[in-house]
Amino acid sequence: MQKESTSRAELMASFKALQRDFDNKKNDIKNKESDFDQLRKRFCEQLKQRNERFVQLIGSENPLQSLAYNLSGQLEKNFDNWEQQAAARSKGIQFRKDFGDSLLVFIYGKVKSGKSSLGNYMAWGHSEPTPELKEKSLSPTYFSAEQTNVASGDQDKEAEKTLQFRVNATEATSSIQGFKLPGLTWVDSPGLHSVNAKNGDLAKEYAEHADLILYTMSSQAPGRASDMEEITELLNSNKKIMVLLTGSDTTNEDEDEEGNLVTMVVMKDLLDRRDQVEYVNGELEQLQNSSSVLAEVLPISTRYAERNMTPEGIAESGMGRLMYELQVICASQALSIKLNMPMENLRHSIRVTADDLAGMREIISGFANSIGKQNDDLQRELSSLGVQGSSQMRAYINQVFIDEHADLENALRQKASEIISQLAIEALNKIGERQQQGLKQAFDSSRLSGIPEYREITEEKEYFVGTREGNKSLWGLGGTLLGGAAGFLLGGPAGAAIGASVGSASSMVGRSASAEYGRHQVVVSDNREEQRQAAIENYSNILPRLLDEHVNTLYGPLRTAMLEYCGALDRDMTELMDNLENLAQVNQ
Amino acid sequence: MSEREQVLAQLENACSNLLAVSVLGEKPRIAAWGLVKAGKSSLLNMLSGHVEQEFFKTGAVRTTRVNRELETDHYILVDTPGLGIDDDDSEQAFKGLDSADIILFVHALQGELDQEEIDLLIEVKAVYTEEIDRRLVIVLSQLDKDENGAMNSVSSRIMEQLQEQIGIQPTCFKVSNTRYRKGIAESKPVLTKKSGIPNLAQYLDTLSLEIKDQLEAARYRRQQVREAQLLKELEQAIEEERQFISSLKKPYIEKISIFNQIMEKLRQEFNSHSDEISIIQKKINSI
Repeated sequence: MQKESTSRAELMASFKALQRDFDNKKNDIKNKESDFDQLRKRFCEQLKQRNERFVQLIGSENPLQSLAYNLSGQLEKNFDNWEQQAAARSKGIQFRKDFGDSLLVFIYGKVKSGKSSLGNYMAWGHSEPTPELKEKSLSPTYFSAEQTNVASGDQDKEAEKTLQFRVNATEATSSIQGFKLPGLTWVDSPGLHSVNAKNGDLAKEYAEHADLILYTMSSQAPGRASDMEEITELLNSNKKIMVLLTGSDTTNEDEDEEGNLVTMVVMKDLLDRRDQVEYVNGELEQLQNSSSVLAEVLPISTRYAERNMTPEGIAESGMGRLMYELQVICASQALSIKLNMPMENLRHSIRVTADDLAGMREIISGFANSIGKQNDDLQRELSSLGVQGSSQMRAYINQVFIDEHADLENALRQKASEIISQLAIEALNKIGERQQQGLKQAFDSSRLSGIPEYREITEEKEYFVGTREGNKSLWGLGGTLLGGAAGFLLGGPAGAAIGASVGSASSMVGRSASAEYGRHQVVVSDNREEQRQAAIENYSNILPRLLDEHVNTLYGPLRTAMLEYCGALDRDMTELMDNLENLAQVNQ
Repeated sequence: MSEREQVLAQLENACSNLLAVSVLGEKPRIAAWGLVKAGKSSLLNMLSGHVEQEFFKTGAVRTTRVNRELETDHYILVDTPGLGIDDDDSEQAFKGLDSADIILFVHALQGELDQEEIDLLIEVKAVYTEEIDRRLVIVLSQLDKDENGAMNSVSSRIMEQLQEQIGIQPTCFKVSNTRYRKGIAESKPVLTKKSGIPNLAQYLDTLSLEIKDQLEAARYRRQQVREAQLLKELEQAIEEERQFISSLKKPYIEKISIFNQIMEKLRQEFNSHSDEISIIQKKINSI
């Protein structure tokens, strides 16, 4: 079927030739990788400290506290994720370290899609190599990495011991293992989407470190949605891939004269193969980054290839074409793929981290909004409580002026402080913030201005005093008259001051002749109303403002601290991102 | 369309489907169901005698996009699109599942059941409840791909999976459509017999006769089960809508209640001032 066919031996020779190049041009970005982990780690630690301090800052009743816990919980989740990523990365670096001189080809795909058979074919030219075959071939070096605990899986270091991958009718692979030939490292992975999810997870963890991924799809049902999702993910992380339709053969059956079945493996009908290739190619083209699919979809059959070991048979099986495409990659891109892959991986990690950070930013800006909203709530509450307090105070003032309170100003101060402190607690309770010692601080009553001193309002009056001799009696008369007048006007305590007033007047008594007039200061009123107005102004009307100031002095620092926290997180993230971007940009 | 709207549209669809499925006929309906390219259409062609000239269209890539029916002597065969490709196909396939009396779950014998298939079978079990072992027939296709009897271990692994993961023990047949086709076309009895198709056909004939009298009752029960499921989903959707609406209303309600509080305080304030004023008024009058 193909003109472009290469034998396995030729391909291996190409890889071998490549080994020297790999050796000469190693690209070590180890420093960058550890920088990357360090940067993230430092960021996490910084954030954790900030969080601890922050959560202590807010009262336990404040709904913002649960939000803050939620926030730090979500951030922690991200950090755990990062830690896992870092662990996986260091595992991968460790894993990759041994294969610096070869192209790391990783076989990846659904369970039972022929991965291990293909690996065996690559290693030995047969999917189930016999001991004799192993004797005479160039012997690959097998190695093992990690293994899941899935019961039916392969044994510990099975491939190393048996020098082949386990091939079975049912799910057989549960380890990352592979073999090395000069210039080529081949890694077999457990299947995706099986009922043993652990196997698939292990495969995913290691796939990241591949230079080239051969994605196997069974030709029985190619292009399933779950396959396309996996490929999408690989392409998104800039992996170079090839897609293989494995098992593209079928059986021709017949019966012999004794009533037995006779079978013959043939390749699937050419048209069927073409339909499948077209279909999967079409699906791939719709994906982003589809240029990272290095060759067209290849239908292959190891089973057919090993039964037809002629060059024609190898070509017909599709294996020849696969070898050819690998050889092309070998000659053209393998070195640059190899050199770029670590950086590509790092860039991908940085992109993923950037996404994580964007998510964090969203959470934090949500939290900042809540802080804003809480402040709005508080201010709204304050304006309504202010009206209420002002009205309480006014009622008290009116009452206290009727009651003739002795120490008026003191009483007003006390009451105003009381109301303001009470309302402040109410306002803060409303937003759930009452635990903080700082917020219990009493209102500073010195902020209240006084009311004018009590004084009487007097008028100077001229009156007839008679003769000089009659002074004394008139003196008494005047006192009586004035006392009566004043008593009429004011009554009560005002009367007490009358004597003095009259006394002062007496000194002004004229000394003129027969008809003498005197001038006298007469108390006509006092400044009680002025005092009351001042009290209303200085204690009642001003109360909303004072309450506002009082509460905001208490709440302000908390709010500022919360906003500062958000700002600090934001700055931390920007800094981290800048640093990471620098890492990604520096030349290789 | 938002996710919410999609869910609602699906529910609406499910409701109208439930109400529409009424005339199913007197013959049992047998639906082939399973993942894409499992060999469903070929199987139905073989079962209905369309060996040389296919009735249900087949191909190397997915071919069946809508449900298709064929009435035979004993039953009605229903072909459904393969699952695991796209949503429209799946919706058709589930519709086919809803109207079926017997399900042929077709699985290609290359490997054991994967997680996707296990999940699908769990859904089938939900519809058929305790009748499941009788109404579900597992058909392991592409027996011709067998080498060295490997498929025996695959099929016994599958039976284990069915038992362990889903808790069912359905009847299981291994078949090869290509073997049967060749056996019939070239009159080769060994191929025909070893294709497993005659056994399956006979089993379906017998099963159809057996369940014929119980069809209505069973369909009614399934309808009830589905109705109950759908009702539950509807209630859940309604509850979600309610919550959605109340979450939309919440900010306004908050604002209104704050506004009302302020108004109430102002009213009190006004009243207390009015009282004050009227007291002063009285005083003035009394002077």
